[in-house]
Amino acid sequence: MHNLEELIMEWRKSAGIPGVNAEILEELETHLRESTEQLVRSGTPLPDAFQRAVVELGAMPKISSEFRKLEERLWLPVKLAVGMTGLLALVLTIFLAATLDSSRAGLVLAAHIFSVTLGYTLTLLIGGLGICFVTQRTFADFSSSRLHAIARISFVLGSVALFFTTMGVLLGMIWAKLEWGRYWACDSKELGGLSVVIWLACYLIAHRFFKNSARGVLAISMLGNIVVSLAWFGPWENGLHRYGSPNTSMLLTGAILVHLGFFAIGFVPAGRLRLRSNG
Amino acid sequence: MNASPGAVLQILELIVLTYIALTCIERVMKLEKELVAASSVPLILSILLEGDSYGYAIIQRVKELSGGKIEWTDGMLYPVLHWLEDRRMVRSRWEKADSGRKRKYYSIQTAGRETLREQKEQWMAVTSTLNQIWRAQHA
Repeated sequence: MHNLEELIMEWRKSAGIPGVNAEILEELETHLRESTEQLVRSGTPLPDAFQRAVVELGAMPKISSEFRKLEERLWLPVKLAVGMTGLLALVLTIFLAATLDSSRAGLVLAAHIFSVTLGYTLTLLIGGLGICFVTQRTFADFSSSRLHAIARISFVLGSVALFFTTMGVLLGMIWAKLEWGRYWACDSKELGGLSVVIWLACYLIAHRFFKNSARGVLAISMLGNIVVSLAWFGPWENGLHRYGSPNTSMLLTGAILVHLGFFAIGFVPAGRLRLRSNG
Repeated sequence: MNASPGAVLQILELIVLTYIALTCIERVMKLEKELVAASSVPLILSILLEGDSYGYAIIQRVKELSGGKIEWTDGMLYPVLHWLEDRRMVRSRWEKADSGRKRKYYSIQTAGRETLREQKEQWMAVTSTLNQIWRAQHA
């Protein structure tokens, strides 16, 4: 003889399909319990009552496809991030093609610049999504389906960023071997690249560990901006990668403080700054 | 073998009674799928205007109000609720009921009230137009 918990557990095994996140599943489970208990109270035996409740709830693939339709409408900052990445890739390709040195080392260097720039920029854009998220959340909370959709997009973007950054670091090592006769010298720029790779790997792992805390992973994505800023503009005294100036450290400190400020905003309760409109 | 007149009468009586019973059973009219879909948003918002509620209770209320004429697949209510939440027409919160069970309650928001007001006007316009046509046709 089955009890309700066993029946629910069996149903859960088959119900966990893409498009239905943990919170939706919990809501559907609550519904199933209420419906079953109501039928049992009216005299239907438990297995029959549960079976009827499952049928009345409807087929999970159909419910999941309805939920997926909700996710199709992209959040504006995500559209902007994807658009900017595409544009940057295009501009970089044109720029590198125009200034291409056709030697072997030149090709490797062009591929290194392309990969690293794209990887770093994507990481910054993910952090930008985090900033947009915490800011918008202080005015109005996100629905759970929207929240999970954004978290999933940041995971996909993070995976692409990790791929390009890793490729960039590896290509940089190959170029260093061709030009300087060594792969790795632990200089600040190389360590910066490695830090971004490690950060992105940790960020993707955090997605796996905090599956039910999309808010948390979106908030920590801002810390990636600090890592990238330090990796990109931090080693300004390094001969090969002199992007900055003595003022860079001041700008970097300011940028870090701003990001930490936004990170702190992530702890503000949702809708705190909402105008008194919703009752 | 010949049937007695009494047995024939009994069979006839049974047939007549079955016919009467069948004609007396009210056939529950079901609404077209499209109409059910179109009416889901104003229905949900109207129910939430009565007070905060959760999925199962909303479905029960719809069944009760429509006398079973509006039949939803229970699970299809939730994507609509999430869609409404996405558009800030409703807000949700998890709350522990007296039974100790956690339920997700939905409450209507200003945007939801606005939408409901607009939809109400549209539905009123449709029903009054249809009523006028049908009244004229009956006259």
